[in-house]
Amino acid sequence: MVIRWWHLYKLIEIMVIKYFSSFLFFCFFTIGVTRAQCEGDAFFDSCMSKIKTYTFLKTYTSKIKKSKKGKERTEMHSYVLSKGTSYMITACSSTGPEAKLIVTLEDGNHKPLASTYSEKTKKHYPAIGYNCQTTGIHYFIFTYDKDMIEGCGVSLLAFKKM
Amino acid sequence: MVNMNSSKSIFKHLKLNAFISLFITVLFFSTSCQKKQTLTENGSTPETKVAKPDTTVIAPEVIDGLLHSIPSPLEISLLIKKTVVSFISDITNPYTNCDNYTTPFKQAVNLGVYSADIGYLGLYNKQTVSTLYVRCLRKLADELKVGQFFTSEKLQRARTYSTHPEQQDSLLTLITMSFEEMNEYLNEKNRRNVSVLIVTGAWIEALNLSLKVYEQNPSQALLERIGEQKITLDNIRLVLSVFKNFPEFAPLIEHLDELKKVYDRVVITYTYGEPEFSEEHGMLVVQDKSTSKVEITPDILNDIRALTIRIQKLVTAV
Repeated sequence: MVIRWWHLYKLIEIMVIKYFSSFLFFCFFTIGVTRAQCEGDAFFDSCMSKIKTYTFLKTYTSKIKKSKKGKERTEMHSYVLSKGTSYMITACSSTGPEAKLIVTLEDGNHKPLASTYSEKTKKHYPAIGYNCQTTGIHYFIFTYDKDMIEGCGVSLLAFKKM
Repeated sequence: MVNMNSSKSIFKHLKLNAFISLFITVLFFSTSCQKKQTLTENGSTPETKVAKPDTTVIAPEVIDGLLHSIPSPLEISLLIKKTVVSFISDITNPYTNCDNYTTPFKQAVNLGVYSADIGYLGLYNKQTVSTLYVRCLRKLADELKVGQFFTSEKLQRARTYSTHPEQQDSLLTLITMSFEEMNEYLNEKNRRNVSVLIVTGAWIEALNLSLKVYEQNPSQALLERIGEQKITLDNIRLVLSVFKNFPEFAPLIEHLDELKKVYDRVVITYTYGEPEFSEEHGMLVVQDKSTSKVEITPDILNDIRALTIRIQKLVTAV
Protein backbone atom coordinates (compact mmCIF):
# COMPACT_ATOMS: atom_id res chain seq x y z
CA MET A 1 0.00 0.00 0.00
CA VAL A 2 1.41 3.31 -1.09
CA ILE A 3 0.60 6.33 0.99
CA ARG A 4 0.82 9.56 -0.91
CA TRP A 5 0.95 13.06 0.55
CA TRP A 6 -2.53 13.95 -0.72
CA HIS A 7 -3.99 10.92 1.09
CA LEU A 8 -2.61 12.27 4.34
CA TYR A 9 -3.94 15.70 3.51
CA LYS A 10 -7.43 14.29 2.85
CA LEU A 11 -7.33 12.27 6.06
CA ILE A 12 -6.48 15.39 8.08
CA GLU A 13 -9.28 17.24 6.29
CA ILE A 14 -11.75 14.45 7.12
CA MET A 15 -10.71 14.56 10.78
CA VAL A 16 -11.16 18.33 10.90
CA ILE A 17 -14.61 18.13 9.27
CA LYS A 18 -15.65 15.29 11.58
CA TYR A 19 -14.62 17.20 14.69
CA PHE A 20 -16.24 20.36 13.36
CA SER A 21 -19.56 18.50 12.80
CA SER A 22 -19.33 16.95 16.27
CA PHE A 23 -18.60 20.36 17.73
CA LEU A 24 -21.63 21.85 15.98
CA PHE A 25 -23.83 18.98 17.18
CA PHE A 26 -22.47 19.46 20.69
CA CYS A 27 -23.17 23.22 20.64
CA PHE A 28 -26.62 22.70 19.17
CA PHE A 29 -27.72 20.21 21.82
CA THR A 30 -26.02 21.73 24.86
CA ILE A 31 -27.61 25.11 24.10
CA GLY A 32 -30.95 23.32 23.91
CA VAL A 33 -30.36 21.48 27.19
CA THR A 34 -29.22 24.61 29.05
CA ARG A 35 -32.27 26.51 27.86
CA ALA A 36 -34.56 23.65 28.78
CA GLN A 37 -33.44 23.63 32.41
CA CYS A 38 -35.51 26.62 33.48
CA GLU A 39 -37.60 27.26 30.42
CA GLY A 40 -40.06 25.38 28.30
CA ASP A 41 -43.63 24.25 28.83
CA ALA A 42 -42.77 21.15 30.89
CA PHE A 43 -40.78 23.12 33.46
CA PHE A 44 -43.44 25.85 33.64
CA ASP A 45 -46.28 23.30 33.92
CA SER A 46 -44.55 21.51 36.79
CA CYS A 47 -44.26 24.84 38.59
CA MET A 48 -47.91 25.67 37.78
CA SER A 49 -49.01 22.36 39.29
CA LYS A 50 -47.83 23.63 42.69
CA ILE A 51 -50.41 26.42 42.85
CA LYS A 52 -53.30 23.91 42.94
CA THR A 53 -56.48 25.71 44.07
CA TYR A 54 -54.94 29.18 43.83
CA THR A 55 -55.50 31.48 40.84
CA PHE A 56 -52.41 32.38 38.83
CA LEU A 57 -51.32 36.04 38.93
CA LYS A 58 -47.71 36.57 37.85
CA THR A 59 -44.52 34.89 36.71
CA TYR A 60 -41.08 36.02 37.80
CA THR A 61 -38.19 34.48 35.89
CA SER A 62 -34.75 34.70 37.43
CA LYS A 63 -31.34 33.88 35.97
CA ILE A 64 -28.06 34.30 37.77
CA LYS A 65 -24.68 33.87 36.11
CA LYS A 66 -21.47 32.73 37.78
CA SER A 67 -20.13 35.28 40.21
CA LYS A 68 -17.15 35.81 42.44
CA LYS A 69 -17.41 34.51 45.99
CA GLY A 70 -19.05 36.94 48.36
CA LYS A 71 -20.47 39.03 45.54
CA GLU A 72 -24.13 39.69 46.15
CA ARG A 73 -26.47 38.06 43.65
CA THR A 74 -29.99 39.24 44.33
CA GLU A 75 -32.99 40.35 42.31
CA MET A 76 -35.90 42.29 43.73
CA HIS A 77 -39.52 42.47 42.56
CA SER A 78 -42.45 44.22 44.17
CA TYR A 79 -46.23 43.75 44.20
CA VAL A 80 -49.14 45.34 46.03
CA LEU A 81 -50.62 42.52 48.13
CA SER A 82 -54.17 42.94 49.42
CA LYS A 83 -55.72 42.43 52.83
CA GLY A 84 -57.98 39.40 53.20
CA THR A 85 -56.21 37.51 50.42
CA SER A 86 -54.18 34.34 50.67
CA TYR A 87 -51.13 34.32 48.38
CA MET A 88 -48.81 31.56 47.27
CA ILE A 89 -45.28 32.34 46.12
CA THR A 90 -43.50 29.34 44.56
CA ALA A 91 -39.77 28.78 44.09
CA CYS A 92 -39.08 26.42 41.19
CA SER A 93 -35.51 25.52 40.27
CA SER A 94 -34.05 23.01 37.85
CA THR A 95 -33.18 19.58 39.25
CA GLY A 96 -29.55 19.81 38.11
CA PRO A 97 -26.45 20.78 40.10
CA GLU A 98 -27.18 24.49 39.63
CA ALA A 99 -27.77 26.82 42.55
CA LYS A 100 -31.34 26.67 43.87
CA LEU A 101 -33.60 29.68 43.85
CA ILE A 102 -34.57 31.12 47.25
CA VAL A 103 -37.50 33.53 47.47
CA THR A 104 -37.77 35.81 50.50
CA LEU A 105 -40.92 37.78 51.17
CA GLU A 106 -40.49 41.22 52.75
CA ASP A 107 -43.03 43.80 53.91
CA GLY A 108 -43.12 47.44 52.76
CA ASN A 109 -40.33 48.34 55.20
CA HIS A 110 -38.10 45.55 53.85
CA LYS A 111 -38.63 43.54 57.00
CA PRO A 112 -38.27 39.84 56.05
CA LEU A 113 -41.48 37.88 56.63
CA ALA A 114 -40.58 34.43 55.31
CA SER A 115 -38.23 32.56 53.01
CA THR A 116 -38.42 29.38 50.92
CA TYR A 117 -35.08 28.34 52.50
CA SER A 118 -34.45 27.70 56.17
CA GLU A 119 -30.85 28.43 57.20
CA LYS A 120 -31.43 26.53 60.41
CA THR A 121 -32.61 23.24 58.90
CA LYS A 122 -31.01 23.77 55.44
CA LYS A 123 -34.41 22.92 53.99
CA HIS A 124 -35.88 24.27 50.75
CA TYR A 125 -39.66 24.81 50.74
CA PRO A 126 -41.40 24.61 47.34
CA ALA A 127 -43.58 27.62 48.20
CA ILE A 128 -44.61 30.18 50.79
CA GLY A 129 -48.26 30.65 51.71
CA TYR A 130 -49.01 34.17 52.96
CA ASN A 131 -52.30 35.13 54.56
CA CYS A 132 -52.17 38.88 54.05
CA GLN A 133 -53.84 41.27 56.50
CA THR A 134 -52.20 44.52 55.38
CA THR A 135 -52.66 46.00 51.93
CA GLY A 136 -49.46 47.50 50.64
CA ILE A 137 -46.31 47.05 48.67
CA HIS A 138 -44.42 43.83 49.44
CA TYR A 139 -41.06 42.72 48.07
CA PHE A 140 -39.90 39.37 46.68
CA ILE A 141 -36.14 38.96 46.98
CA PHE A 142 -34.53 36.28 44.79
CA THR A 143 -31.22 34.79 45.89
CA TYR A 144 -29.42 31.45 45.37
CA ASP A 145 -28.11 28.86 47.79
CA LYS A 146 -24.64 28.53 46.25
CA ASP A 147 -21.98 31.06 45.34
CA MET A 148 -20.07 31.03 42.04
CA ILE A 149 -22.51 28.63 40.36
CA GLU A 150 -25.05 29.47 37.70
CA GLY A 151 -28.65 29.33 38.72
CA CYS A 152 -32.07 29.91 37.29
CA GLY A 153 -35.61 29.55 38.48
CA VAL A 154 -39.19 30.59 38.17
CA SER A 155 -41.43 31.96 40.87
CA LEU A 156 -45.19 32.14 40.44
CA LEU A 157 -47.52 34.36 42.40
CA ALA A 158 -51.05 33.04 42.86
CA PHE A 159 -53.96 34.02 45.09
CA LYS A 160 -57.30 33.04 46.58
CA LYS A 161 -59.76 34.79 48.85
CA MET A 162 -59.45 33.91 52.54
CA MET B 1 -6.74 -0.89 -7.55
CA VAL B 2 -7.00 -1.06 -3.79
CA ASN B 3 -5.56 2.45 -3.61
CA MET B 4 -8.02 3.75 -6.16
CA ASN B 5 -11.02 2.21 -4.32
CA SER B 6 -9.95 3.52 -0.93
CA SER B 7 -9.37 7.02 -2.29
CA LYS B 8 -12.86 6.95 -3.92
CA SER B 9 -14.43 5.92 -0.64
CA ILE B 10 -12.44 8.66 1.14
CA PHE B 11 -13.82 11.19 -1.33
CA LYS B 12 -17.38 9.90 -0.87
CA HIS B 13 -16.97 10.09 2.88
CA LEU B 14 -15.50 13.53 2.58
CA LYS B 15 -18.41 14.75 0.40
CA LEU B 16 -20.97 13.34 2.85
CA ASN B 17 -19.29 14.91 5.86
CA ALA B 18 -18.88 18.22 4.10
CA PHE B 19 -22.54 18.14 3.08
CA ILE B 20 -23.69 17.36 6.66
CA SER B 21 -21.49 20.11 8.12
CA LEU B 22 -22.68 22.61 5.52
CA PHE B 23 -26.31 21.62 6.08
CA ILE B 24 -26.02 22.03 9.88
CA THR B 25 -24.20 25.34 9.55
CA VAL B 26 -26.77 26.71 7.07
CA LEU B 27 -29.66 25.43 9.22
CA PHE B 28 -28.14 26.89 12.38
CA PHE B 29 -27.56 30.33 10.92
CA SER B 30 -30.73 30.49 8.86
CA THR B 31 -32.92 29.74 11.90
CA SER B 32 -31.28 32.44 13.97
CA CYS B 33 -31.57 34.95 11.12
CA GLN B 34 -35.21 34.03 10.51
CA LYS B 35 -36.05 34.49 14.20
CA LYS B 36 -34.46 37.93 14.21
CA GLN B 37 -36.39 38.92 11.10
CA THR B 38 -39.73 37.82 12.58
CA LEU B 39 -39.09 39.73 15.78
CA THR B 40 -38.24 42.87 13.87
CA GLU B 41 -41.40 42.63 11.82
CA ASN B 42 -43.58 42.17 14.86
CA GLY B 43 -41.75 44.78 16.84
CA SER B 44 -42.44 47.64 14.46
CA THR B 45 -44.41 50.31 16.26
CA PRO B 46 -47.71 50.97 14.53
CA GLU B 47 -48.17 54.52 15.70
CA THR B 48 -46.15 57.50 14.56
CA LYS B 49 -44.18 58.80 17.49
CA VAL B 50 -44.56 62.52 17.84
CA ALA B 51 -43.11 62.69 21.33
CA LYS B 52 -40.48 60.84 23.30
CA PRO B 53 -40.91 59.38 26.78
CA ASP B 54 -39.25 61.39 29.51
CA THR B 55 -36.91 58.74 30.91
CA THR B 56 -35.18 61.32 33.07
CA VAL B 57 -38.13 60.94 35.47
CA ILE B 58 -37.88 57.14 35.83
CA ALA B 59 -35.49 54.63 34.24
CA PRO B 60 -37.11 52.05 31.87
CA GLU B 61 -36.25 49.18 34.25
CA VAL B 62 -38.03 51.02 37.08
CA ILE B 63 -41.10 51.48 34.86
CA ASP B 64 -41.11 47.71 34.21
CA GLY B 65 -40.87 47.06 37.95
CA LEU B 66 -43.69 49.48 38.74
CA LEU B 67 -45.89 47.95 36.04
CA HIS B 68 -45.23 44.51 37.54
CA SER B 69 -46.19 45.76 41.00
CA ILE B 70 -49.70 46.89 39.96
CA PRO B 71 -52.24 44.30 41.12
CA SER B 72 -54.20 42.32 38.56
CA PRO B 73 -57.85 43.43 38.09
CA LEU B 74 -58.67 39.77 38.65
CA GLU B 75 -58.11 40.23 42.39
CA ILE B 76 -60.87 42.86 42.63
CA SER B 77 -63.16 40.71 40.48
CA LEU B 78 -62.69 37.77 42.82
CA LEU B 79 -63.47 39.99 45.81
CA ILE B 80 -66.64 41.17 44.04
CA LYS B 81 -67.59 37.56 43.33
CA LYS B 82 -67.05 36.61 46.96
CA THR B 83 -68.96 39.61 48.31
CA VAL B 84 -71.83 39.71 45.83
CA VAL B 85 -73.38 36.41 44.86
CA SER B 86 -75.59 37.66 42.02
CA PHE B 87 -74.17 38.92 38.73
CA ILE B 88 -74.87 42.55 37.84
CA SER B 89 -75.23 43.01 34.10
CA ASP B 90 -74.64 46.13 31.98
CA ILE B 91 -71.81 47.48 34.09
CA THR B 92 -69.05 46.44 31.68
CA ASN B 93 -67.93 48.42 28.62
CA PRO B 94 -70.10 47.08 25.73
CA TYR B 95 -68.12 44.82 23.41
CA THR B 96 -69.87 46.49 20.46
CA ASN B 97 -67.73 49.58 21.10
CA CYS B 98 -64.53 47.81 20.15
CA ASP B 99 -64.86 48.41 16.39
CA ASN B 100 -64.95 52.14 17.02
CA TYR B 101 -61.57 52.35 18.76
CA THR B 102 -59.38 53.39 15.88
CA THR B 103 -56.45 55.24 17.47
CA PRO B 104 -53.57 53.30 19.09
CA PHE B 105 -54.23 55.21 22.34
CA LYS B 106 -57.88 54.11 22.52
CA GLN B 107 -57.03 50.59 21.38
CA ALA B 108 -54.38 50.15 24.08
CA VAL B 109 -56.36 51.62 26.96
CA ASN B 110 -59.49 49.66 26.01
CA LEU B 111 -57.52 46.43 25.65
CA GLY B 112 -56.94 46.93 29.39
CA VAL B 113 -60.59 47.85 30.02
CA TYR B 114 -61.82 44.68 28.29
CA SER B 115 -59.31 42.51 30.17
CA ALA B 116 -60.87 43.65 33.46
CA ASP B 117 -64.37 43.04 32.02
CA ILE B 118 -63.39 39.49 30.98
CA GLY B 119 -62.12 38.89 34.51
CA TYR B 120 -65.47 39.97 35.93
CA LEU B 121 -67.56 38.00 33.39
CA GLY B 122 -65.33 34.95 33.62
CA LEU B 123 -65.69 34.65 37.38
CA TYR B 124 -69.48 34.60 37.02
CA ASN B 125 -69.06 31.96 34.31
CA LYS B 126 -70.70 34.07 31.58
CA GLN B 127 -69.21 31.97 28.80
CA THR B 128 -71.16 33.22 25.78
CA VAL B 129 -70.63 36.90 26.43
CA SER B 130 -67.01 36.24 27.55
CA THR B 131 -66.30 34.78 24.10
CA LEU B 132 -67.55 37.99 22.46
CA TYR B 133 -65.30 40.05 24.74
CA VAL B 134 -62.32 37.77 24.00
CA ARG B 135 -62.94 38.25 20.26
CA CYS B 136 -62.94 41.99 20.83
CA LEU B 137 -59.73 41.74 22.85
CA ARG B 138 -58.11 39.86 19.98
CA LYS B 139 -59.20 42.48 17.46
CA LEU B 140 -57.64 45.30 19.49
CA ALA B 141 -54.49 43.24 20.04
CA ASP B 142 -54.22 42.65 16.28
CA GLU B 143 -54.57 46.38 15.62
CA LEU B 144 -51.76 47.03 18.08
CA LYS B 145 -49.59 44.34 16.41
CA VAL B 146 -49.61 42.12 19.49
CA GLY B 147 -52.18 39.66 18.16
CA GLN B 148 -49.62 36.81 18.38
CA PHE B 149 -50.37 36.59 22.12
CA PHE B 150 -54.08 35.94 21.50
CA THR B 151 -53.94 33.38 18.66
CA SER B 152 -56.84 31.13 17.62
CA GLU B 153 -54.98 28.13 19.13
CA LYS B 154 -54.75 29.83 22.51
CA LEU B 155 -58.36 30.99 22.41
CA GLN B 156 -59.53 27.56 21.27
CA ARG B 157 -57.68 26.07 24.23
CA ALA B 158 -59.35 28.65 26.47
CA ARG B 159 -62.80 27.70 25.13
CA THR B 160 -62.08 24.00 25.75
CA TYR B 161 -61.03 24.81 29.29
CA SER B 162 -64.06 26.97 29.98
CA THR B 163 -66.41 24.05 29.24
CA HIS B 164 -65.10 22.27 32.34
CA PRO B 165 -66.96 23.67 35.35
CA GLU B 166 -64.13 22.73 37.73
CA GLN B 167 -61.70 24.73 35.58
CA GLN B 168 -63.64 27.96 35.23
CA ASP B 169 -60.47 29.91 36.09
CA SER B 170 -58.54 28.41 33.16
CA LEU B 171 -59.73 31.04 30.69
CA LEU B 172 -58.65 33.74 33.13
CA THR B 173 -55.30 32.02 33.70
CA LEU B 174 -54.67 31.89 29.95
CA ILE B 175 -55.68 35.53 29.51
CA THR B 176 -53.44 36.54 32.45
CA MET B 177 -50.52 34.62 30.94
CA SER B 178 -51.08 36.15 27.51
CA PHE B 179 -51.14 39.64 29.01
CA GLU B 180 -47.95 38.92 30.91
CA GLU B 181 -46.16 37.71 27.75
CA MET B 182 -47.50 40.67 25.78
CA ASN B 183 -46.34 43.25 28.35
CA GLU B 184 -42.89 41.67 28.48
CA TYR B 185 -42.70 41.82 24.68
CA LEU B 186 -43.87 45.45 24.58
CA ASN B 187 -41.28 46.45 27.16
CA GLU B 188 -38.53 44.63 25.24
CA LYS B 189 -39.57 46.50 22.09
CA ASN B 190 -39.56 49.85 23.89
CA ARG B 191 -43.31 50.19 23.52
CA ARG B 192 -43.87 50.85 27.20
CA ASN B 193 -46.40 53.57 26.35
CA VAL B 194 -48.70 50.76 25.14
CA SER B 195 -48.16 48.57 28.25
CA VAL B 196 -48.73 51.55 30.56
CA LEU B 197 -52.04 52.32 28.82
CA ILE B 198 -53.18 48.68 29.00
CA VAL B 199 -52.42 48.48 32.73
CA THR B 200 -54.08 51.87 33.36
CA GLY B 201 -57.21 50.88 31.41
CA ALA B 202 -57.51 47.63 33.37
CA TRP B 203 -57.12 49.45 36.68
CA ILE B 204 -59.72 52.14 35.80
CA GLU B 205 -62.26 49.50 34.74
CA ALA B 206 -61.66 47.37 37.86
CA LEU B 207 -62.23 50.43 40.06
CA ASN B 208 -65.30 51.37 38.03
CA LEU B 209 -66.77 47.86 38.38
CA SER B 210 -66.17 47.77 42.15
CA LEU B 211 -67.82 51.19 42.62
CA LYS B 212 -70.86 50.13 40.58
CA VAL B 213 -71.16 46.84 42.47
CA TYR B 214 -70.71 48.63 45.83
CA GLU B 215 -73.50 51.08 44.93
CA GLN B 216 -75.95 48.15 44.66
CA ASN B 217 -74.40 45.84 47.27
CA PRO B 218 -72.43 47.78 49.90
CA SER B 219 -69.87 45.76 51.87
CA GLN B 220 -67.03 46.76 54.20
CA ALA B 221 -64.48 44.56 52.35
CA LEU B 222 -65.25 46.17 49.00
CA LEU B 223 -65.24 49.68 50.51
CA GLU B 224 -61.79 49.06 51.99
CA ARG B 225 -60.54 47.72 48.66
CA ILE B 226 -61.80 50.86 46.91
CA GLY B 227 -59.94 52.99 49.49
CA GLU B 228 -56.76 50.92 49.14
CA GLN B 229 -56.56 51.86 45.46
CA LYS B 230 -54.80 54.97 46.76
CA ILE B 231 -51.56 52.92 46.79
CA THR B 232 -51.92 51.67 43.21
CA LEU B 233 -53.01 55.09 41.91
CA ASP B 234 -49.66 56.51 43.06
CA ASN B 235 -47.78 53.89 41.02
CA ILE B 236 -49.97 54.42 37.95
CA ARG B 237 -49.47 58.19 38.05
CA LEU B 238 -45.73 57.64 38.35
CA VAL B 239 -45.49 55.47 35.22
CA LEU B 240 -47.86 57.74 33.28
CA SER B 241 -45.72 60.79 34.12
CA VAL B 242 -42.98 59.36 31.84
CA PHE B 243 -45.32 59.91 28.88
CA LYS B 244 -46.50 63.38 29.82
CA ASN B 245 -45.00 64.70 26.54
CA PHE B 246 -47.40 62.53 24.53
CA PRO B 247 -50.36 64.85 23.77
CA GLU B 248 -53.01 62.10 23.96
CA PHE B 249 -51.87 61.20 27.49
CA ALA B 250 -52.46 64.71 28.89
CA PRO B 251 -56.24 64.54 29.61
CA LEU B 252 -55.86 61.14 31.26
CA ILE B 253 -53.00 62.37 33.48
CA GLU B 254 -54.99 65.50 34.43
CA HIS B 255 -58.02 63.44 35.45
CA LEU B 256 -55.92 61.00 37.47
CA ASP B 257 -54.23 63.95 39.21
CA GLU B 258 -57.68 65.11 40.27
CA LEU B 259 -58.50 61.63 41.51
CA LYS B 260 -55.25 61.63 43.47
CA LYS B 261 -56.39 64.81 45.30
CA VAL B 262 -59.54 63.00 46.41
CA TYR B 263 -57.61 59.86 47.39
CA ASP B 264 -55.27 62.00 49.51
CA ARG B 265 -58.22 62.34 51.92
CA VAL B 266 -58.35 58.54 52.40
CA VAL B 267 -56.40 57.56 55.53
CA ILE B 268 -54.67 54.16 55.74
CA THR B 269 -53.08 53.22 59.09
CA TYR B 270 -50.87 50.22 59.82
CA THR B 271 -50.22 48.37 63.08
CA TYR B 272 -47.33 45.90 63.17
CA GLY B 273 -47.76 42.41 64.60
CA GLU B 274 -45.21 39.57 64.68
CA PRO B 275 -46.13 37.02 61.96
CA GLU B 276 -46.84 33.39 62.88
CA PHE B 277 -45.50 30.41 60.96
CA SER B 278 -46.69 26.88 60.31
CA GLU B 279 -46.05 24.10 57.80
CA GLU B 280 -48.95 22.84 55.70
CA HIS B 281 -48.57 20.13 53.03
CA GLY B 282 -44.82 20.83 52.87
CA MET B 283 -45.40 24.54 52.32
CA LEU B 284 -44.34 27.26 54.75
CA VAL B 285 -47.43 29.27 55.73
CA VAL B 286 -47.15 32.78 57.16
CA GLN B 287 -50.03 34.27 59.07
CA ASP B 288 -49.77 38.05 58.85
CA LYS B 289 -50.52 39.52 62.30
CA SER B 290 -50.15 43.14 61.23
CA THR B 291 -53.32 45.04 60.45
CA SER B 292 -54.29 47.94 58.22
CA LYS B 293 -57.29 50.21 58.56
CA VAL B 294 -58.83 52.26 55.76
CA GLU B 295 -60.82 55.38 56.64
CA ILE B 296 -63.05 56.54 53.81
CA THR B 297 -66.12 58.75 54.40
CA PRO B 298 -69.28 58.68 52.22
CA ASP B 299 -68.30 62.11 50.84
CA ILE B 300 -64.92 60.87 49.72
CA LEU B 301 -66.52 57.78 48.21
CA ASN B 302 -68.99 59.92 46.25
CA ASP B 303 -66.15 62.08 44.91
CA ILE B 304 -64.17 58.98 43.91
CA ARG B 305 -67.25 57.57 42.17
CA ALA B 306 -67.99 60.79 40.26
CA LEU B 307 -64.41 61.16 39.07
CA THR B 308 -64.02 57.48 38.16
CA ILE B 309 -67.17 57.63 36.01
CA ARG B 310 -65.70 60.67 34.22
CA ILE B 311 -62.36 58.94 33.65
CA GLN B 312 -64.01 55.71 32.50
CA LYS B 313 -66.10 57.71 30.00
CA LEU B 314 -63.00 59.56 28.82
CA VAL B 315 -61.19 56.32 27.97
CA THR B 316 -64.13 54.29 26.62
CA ALA B 317 -65.92 57.04 24.64
CA VAL B 318 -66.16 56.19 20.94
